[in-house]
Amino acid sequence: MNESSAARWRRQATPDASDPFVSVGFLIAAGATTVIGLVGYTVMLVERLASARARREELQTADRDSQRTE
Amino acid sequence: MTSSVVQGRARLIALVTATVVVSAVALAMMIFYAPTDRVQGVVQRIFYFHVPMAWVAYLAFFVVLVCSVGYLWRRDLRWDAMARASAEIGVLFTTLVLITGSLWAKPIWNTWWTWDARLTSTLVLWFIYVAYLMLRAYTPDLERAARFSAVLGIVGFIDVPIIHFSVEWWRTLHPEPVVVRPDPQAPPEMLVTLAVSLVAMTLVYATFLVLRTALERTRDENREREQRRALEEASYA
Repeated sequence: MNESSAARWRRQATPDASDPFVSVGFLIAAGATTVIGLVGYTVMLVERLASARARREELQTADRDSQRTE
Repeated sequence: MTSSVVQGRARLIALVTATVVVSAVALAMMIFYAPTDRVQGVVQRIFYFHVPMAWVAYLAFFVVLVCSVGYLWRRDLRWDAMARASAEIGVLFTTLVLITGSLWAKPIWNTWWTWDARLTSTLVLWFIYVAYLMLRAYTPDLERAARFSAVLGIVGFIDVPIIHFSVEWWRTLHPEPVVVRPDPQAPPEMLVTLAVSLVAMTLVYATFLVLRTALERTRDENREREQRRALEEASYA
Protein backbone atom coordinates (compact mmCIF):
# COMPACT_ATOMS: atom_id res chain seq x y z
CA MET A 1 0.00 0.00 0.00
CA ASN A 2 1.29 3.43 -0.87
CA GLU A 3 2.17 5.66 2.05
CA SER A 4 -0.10 8.72 2.19
CA SER A 5 1.55 12.12 1.92
CA ALA A 6 0.42 12.99 5.49
CA ALA A 7 1.96 9.78 6.85
CA ARG A 8 5.18 10.43 4.91
CA TRP A 9 5.33 13.99 6.26
CA ARG A 10 4.77 12.70 9.81
CA ARG A 11 7.53 10.11 9.42
CA GLN A 12 9.96 12.65 8.01
CA ALA A 13 9.09 15.21 10.71
CA THR A 14 9.77 12.67 13.47
CA PRO A 15 13.29 13.14 14.80
CA ASP A 16 15.24 9.92 15.24
CA ALA A 17 16.70 10.16 18.76
CA SER A 18 19.01 7.22 18.06
CA ASP A 19 20.71 9.31 15.35
CA PRO A 20 23.61 11.01 17.19
CA PHE A 21 23.35 14.14 15.00
CA VAL A 22 19.69 14.60 15.93
CA SER A 23 20.42 13.91 19.60
CA VAL A 24 23.37 16.35 19.73
CA GLY A 25 21.35 18.95 17.81
CA PHE A 26 18.56 19.00 20.38
CA LEU A 27 21.09 19.01 23.25
CA ILE A 28 22.92 22.01 21.73
CA ALA A 29 19.63 23.84 21.14
CA ALA A 30 18.57 23.34 24.78
CA GLY A 31 22.05 24.26 26.10
CA ALA A 32 22.26 27.37 23.92
CA THR A 33 18.78 28.50 25.03
CA THR A 34 19.82 28.14 28.68
CA VAL A 35 23.13 29.99 28.21
CA ILE A 36 21.50 32.80 26.19
CA GLY A 37 18.75 33.13 28.82
CA LEU A 38 21.09 33.23 31.82
CA VAL A 39 23.83 35.39 30.25
CA GLY A 40 21.26 37.74 28.70
CA TYR A 41 19.52 38.17 32.04
CA THR A 42 22.88 38.84 33.78
CA VAL A 43 23.77 41.56 31.25
CA MET A 44 20.31 43.13 31.56
CA LEU A 45 20.52 43.03 35.37
CA VAL A 46 23.96 44.65 35.50
CA GLU A 47 22.85 47.39 33.09
CA ARG A 48 19.66 48.12 35.04
CA LEU A 49 21.62 48.22 38.31
CA ALA A 50 24.23 50.59 36.84
CA SER A 51 21.53 52.91 35.55
CA ALA A 52 19.65 52.89 38.91
CA ARG A 53 22.90 53.68 40.74
CA ALA A 54 23.71 56.51 38.31
CA ARG A 55 20.24 57.96 38.98
CA ARG A 56 20.86 57.68 42.74
CA GLU A 57 24.13 59.63 42.35
CA GLU A 58 22.27 62.26 40.34
CA LEU A 59 19.58 62.66 43.01
CA GLN A 60 22.14 62.74 45.85
CA THR A 61 24.08 65.49 44.04
CA ALA A 62 20.88 67.46 43.44
CA ASP A 63 19.96 67.09 47.16
CA ARG A 64 23.40 68.31 48.25
CA ASP A 65 23.21 71.26 45.84
CA SER A 66 19.79 72.33 47.08
CA GLN A 67 20.92 72.10 50.73
CA ARG A 68 23.93 74.28 49.92
CA THR A 69 21.66 76.86 48.20
CA GLU A 70 19.40 77.00 51.25
CA MET B 1 33.46 53.92 50.89
CA THR B 2 32.10 52.53 54.17
CA SER B 3 33.32 49.19 55.53
CA SER B 4 29.86 47.59 55.05
CA VAL B 5 29.90 48.50 51.33
CA VAL B 6 33.41 47.01 50.96
CA GLN B 7 32.32 43.86 52.82
CA GLY B 8 29.19 43.58 50.64
CA ARG B 9 31.26 43.95 47.47
CA ALA B 10 33.77 41.30 48.68
CA ARG B 11 30.92 38.89 49.43
CA LEU B 12 29.41 39.48 45.97
CA ILE B 13 32.79 38.85 44.29
CA ALA B 14 33.16 35.61 46.31
CA LEU B 15 29.63 34.52 45.30
CA VAL B 16 30.20 35.28 41.60
CA THR B 17 33.57 33.44 41.66
CA ALA B 18 31.99 30.38 43.33
CA THR B 19 29.13 30.44 40.77
CA VAL B 20 31.50 30.58 37.79
CA VAL B 21 33.81 27.84 39.16
CA VAL B 22 31.02 25.41 40.16
CA SER B 23 29.16 26.04 36.87
CA ALA B 24 32.34 25.25 34.88
CA VAL B 25 32.84 22.04 36.90
CA ALA B 26 29.17 21.06 36.36
CA LEU B 27 29.48 21.67 32.60
CA ALA B 28 32.67 19.58 32.40
CA MET B 29 31.03 16.73 34.37
CA MET B 30 27.94 16.92 32.15
CA ILE B 31 30.08 16.48 29.02
CA PHE B 32 32.95 14.21 30.13
CA TYR B 33 31.95 12.41 33.33
CA ALA B 34 28.25 11.54 33.16
CA PRO B 35 27.56 8.33 31.19
CA THR B 36 25.44 8.43 28.04
CA ASP B 37 21.94 7.07 28.55
CA ARG B 38 21.48 3.72 26.80
CA VAL B 39 17.91 4.42 25.66
CA GLN B 40 17.80 8.17 25.02
CA GLY B 41 21.38 8.78 23.91
CA VAL B 42 23.16 12.13 24.19
CA VAL B 43 19.95 14.19 24.37
CA GLN B 44 19.34 12.83 27.91
CA ARG B 45 22.08 15.25 29.10
CA ILE B 46 19.43 18.00 28.98
CA PHE B 47 18.43 16.42 32.32
CA TYR B 48 21.50 18.02 34.02
CA PHE B 49 20.22 21.55 33.48
CA HIS B 50 16.47 21.02 33.01
CA VAL B 51 16.00 19.44 36.47
CA PRO B 52 18.23 21.96 38.38
CA MET B 53 16.40 24.86 36.72
CA ALA B 54 13.06 23.38 37.80
CA TRP B 55 14.43 23.06 41.37
CA VAL B 56 15.60 26.69 41.30
CA ALA B 57 12.17 27.83 40.04
CA TYR B 58 10.53 26.04 43.04
CA LEU B 59 13.11 27.64 45.35
CA ALA B 60 12.53 31.11 43.87
CA PHE B 61 8.76 30.85 44.39
CA PHE B 62 9.31 29.50 47.92
CA VAL B 63 11.39 32.64 48.63
CA VAL B 64 8.49 34.72 47.22
CA LEU B 65 6.15 32.89 49.65
CA VAL B 66 8.42 33.49 52.67
CA CYS B 67 9.04 37.15 51.78
CA SER B 68 5.33 37.75 51.12
CA VAL B 69 4.45 36.39 54.57
CA GLY B 70 7.30 38.52 55.98
CA TYR B 71 5.94 41.63 54.27
CA LEU B 72 2.33 41.11 55.40
CA TRP B 73 3.55 40.50 58.94
CA ARG B 74 6.12 43.32 59.25
CA ARG B 75 4.98 45.75 56.50
CA ASP B 76 8.66 46.31 55.71
CA LEU B 77 9.39 47.04 52.04
CA ARG B 78 12.72 45.18 52.25
CA TRP B 79 10.76 41.90 52.33
CA ASP B 80 8.74 43.06 49.35
CA ALA B 81 11.88 44.01 47.39
CA MET B 82 13.21 40.47 47.80
CA ALA B 83 9.84 38.93 46.82
CA ARG B 84 9.74 41.09 43.65
CA ALA B 85 13.31 40.06 42.80
CA SER B 86 12.71 36.35 43.40
CA ALA B 87 9.46 36.31 41.40
CA GLU B 88 11.18 37.68 38.30
CA ILE B 89 14.03 35.17 38.60
CA GLY B 90 11.50 32.36 39.12
CA VAL B 91 9.68 33.34 35.92
CA LEU B 92 13.00 33.33 34.02
CA PHE B 93 13.84 29.81 35.24
CA THR B 94 10.31 28.49 34.62
CA THR B 95 10.50 29.84 31.05
CA LEU B 96 13.81 28.03 30.51
CA VAL B 97 12.39 24.83 32.05
CA LEU B 98 9.43 24.92 29.64
CA ILE B 99 11.67 25.55 26.59
CA THR B 100 14.32 22.95 27.45
CA GLY B 101 11.59 20.45 28.36
CA SER B 102 10.00 20.99 24.97
CA LEU B 103 13.36 20.50 23.21
CA TRP B 104 13.83 17.27 25.14
CA ALA B 105 10.28 16.08 24.48
CA LYS B 106 10.45 16.36 20.68
CA PRO B 107 13.09 13.63 20.05
CA ILE B 108 11.89 11.41 22.93
CA TRP B 109 8.08 11.75 22.93
CA ASN B 110 7.83 12.94 19.32
CA THR B 111 5.93 16.05 20.34
CA TRP B 112 6.93 19.57 21.40
CA TRP B 113 4.07 19.76 23.88
CA THR B 114 1.37 17.60 25.40
CA TRP B 115 -1.36 18.53 27.89
CA ASP B 116 0.10 16.20 30.49
CA ALA B 117 -0.45 17.02 34.22
CA ARG B 118 3.20 17.94 34.93
CA LEU B 119 3.58 20.14 31.86
CA THR B 120 0.19 21.82 32.25
CA SER B 121 0.65 22.58 35.96
CA THR B 122 4.12 24.04 35.18
CA LEU B 123 2.60 26.27 32.50
CA VAL B 124 -0.05 27.36 35.04
CA LEU B 125 2.78 28.23 37.48
CA TRP B 126 4.39 30.39 34.77
CA PHE B 127 1.07 32.20 34.18
CA ILE B 128 0.56 32.79 37.93
CA TYR B 129 3.93 34.50 38.37
CA VAL B 130 3.70 36.43 35.07
CA ALA B 131 0.38 37.72 36.50
CA TYR B 132 2.27 38.59 39.71
CA LEU B 133 4.77 40.69 37.72
CA MET B 134 1.96 42.35 35.74
CA LEU B 135 0.08 43.16 38.93
CA ARG B 136 3.21 44.87 40.25
CA ALA B 137 3.81 46.76 37.03
CA TYR B 138 0.25 48.10 36.72
CA THR B 139 -0.44 49.05 40.36
CA PRO B 140 1.03 52.56 40.76
CA ASP B 141 0.93 52.72 44.58
CA LEU B 142 3.87 50.72 45.96
CA GLU B 143 2.19 49.78 49.27
CA ARG B 144 -0.95 48.50 47.52
CA ALA B 145 1.09 46.64 44.90
CA ALA B 146 3.12 45.02 47.69
CA ARG B 147 -0.02 43.97 49.59
CA PHE B 148 -1.88 42.56 46.56
CA SER B 149 1.13 40.73 45.18
CA ALA B 150 2.03 39.31 48.61
CA VAL B 151 -1.38 37.61 48.66
CA LEU B 152 -0.86 36.31 45.11
CA GLY B 153 2.68 35.18 46.01
CA ILE B 154 1.30 33.08 48.88
CA VAL B 155 -1.70 31.63 47.02
CA GLY B 156 0.33 30.99 43.84
CA PHE B 157 2.76 28.72 45.68
CA ILE B 158 -0.02 26.12 46.07
CA ASP B 159 0.76 25.09 42.49
CA VAL B 160 4.33 24.00 43.37
CA PRO B 161 3.39 20.85 45.39
CA ILE B 162 0.74 20.10 42.72
CA ILE B 163 3.49 20.12 40.05
CA HIS B 164 5.77 17.99 42.21
CA PHE B 165 3.19 15.31 42.98
CA SER B 166 1.42 15.47 39.60
CA VAL B 167 3.45 12.51 38.29
CA GLU B 168 2.27 10.39 41.24
CA TRP B 169 -1.34 11.58 41.40
CA TRP B 170 -2.12 11.29 37.69
CA ARG B 171 -0.99 9.02 34.87
CA THR B 172 1.41 11.23 32.94
CA LEU B 173 3.90 11.03 30.10
CA HIS B 174 6.49 12.83 32.22
CA PRO B 175 8.76 10.40 34.11
CA GLU B 176 8.57 10.00 37.89
CA PRO B 177 11.49 11.26 40.05
CA VAL B 178 14.64 9.22 39.39
CA VAL B 179 16.76 10.51 42.27
CA VAL B 180 14.86 9.12 45.26
CA ARG B 181 13.57 6.02 43.47
CA PRO B 182 15.15 2.88 45.02
CA ASP B 183 14.81 0.65 41.97
CA PRO B 184 15.99 0.99 39.24
CA GLN B 185 18.26 3.71 40.55
CA ALA B 186 20.27 6.01 38.29
CA PRO B 187 24.05 5.29 38.16
CA PRO B 188 26.08 7.16 40.83
CA GLU B 189 27.94 9.16 38.12
CA MET B 190 24.61 10.57 36.94
CA LEU B 191 23.50 11.40 40.49
CA VAL B 192 26.81 13.11 41.36
CA THR B 193 26.67 15.18 38.15
CA LEU B 194 23.08 16.14 38.93
CA ALA B 195 24.06 17.14 42.50
CA VAL B 196 26.90 19.39 41.23
CA SER B 197 24.55 20.93 38.63
CA LEU B 198 21.99 21.58 41.38
CA VAL B 199 24.62 23.43 43.45
CA ALA B 200 25.74 25.42 40.37
CA MET B 201 22.19 26.47 39.46
CA THR B 202 21.42 27.38 43.10
CA LEU B 203 24.52 29.62 43.13
CA VAL B 204 23.36 31.26 39.87
CA TYR B 205 20.01 31.93 41.57
CA ALA B 206 21.73 33.36 44.68
CA THR B 207 23.83 35.72 42.53
CA PHE B 208 20.77 36.88 40.60
CA LEU B 209 18.82 37.36 43.83
CA VAL B 210 21.56 39.53 45.40
CA LEU B 211 21.84 41.72 42.27
CA ARG B 212 18.09 41.95 41.64
CA THR B 213 17.30 42.78 45.28
CA ALA B 214 20.01 45.49 45.22
CA LEU B 215 18.33 46.88 42.09
CA GLU B 216 14.89 46.96 43.76
CA ARG B 217 16.31 48.64 46.91
CA THR B 218 18.11 51.30 44.81
CA ARG B 219 14.94 51.97 42.82
CA ASP B 220 12.88 52.28 46.04
CA GLU B 221 15.46 54.71 47.41
CA ASN B 222 15.35 56.78 44.18
CA ARG B 223 11.54 56.78 44.18
CA GLU B 224 11.51 58.04 47.78
CA ARG B 225 14.00 60.81 46.98
CA GLU B 226 12.05 61.85 43.88
CA GLN B 227 8.80 62.01 45.86
CA ARG B 228 10.46 64.09 48.60
CA ARG B 229 11.90 66.48 46.03
CA ALA B 230 8.52 66.82 44.28
CA LEU B 231 6.87 67.63 47.64
CA GLU B 232 9.56 70.20 48.46
CA GLU B 233 9.20 71.84 45.04
CA ALA B 234 5.40 71.92 45.43
CA SER B 235 5.68 73.58 48.85
CA TYR B 236 8.02 76.30 47.43
CA ALA B 237 5.69 77.00 44.51
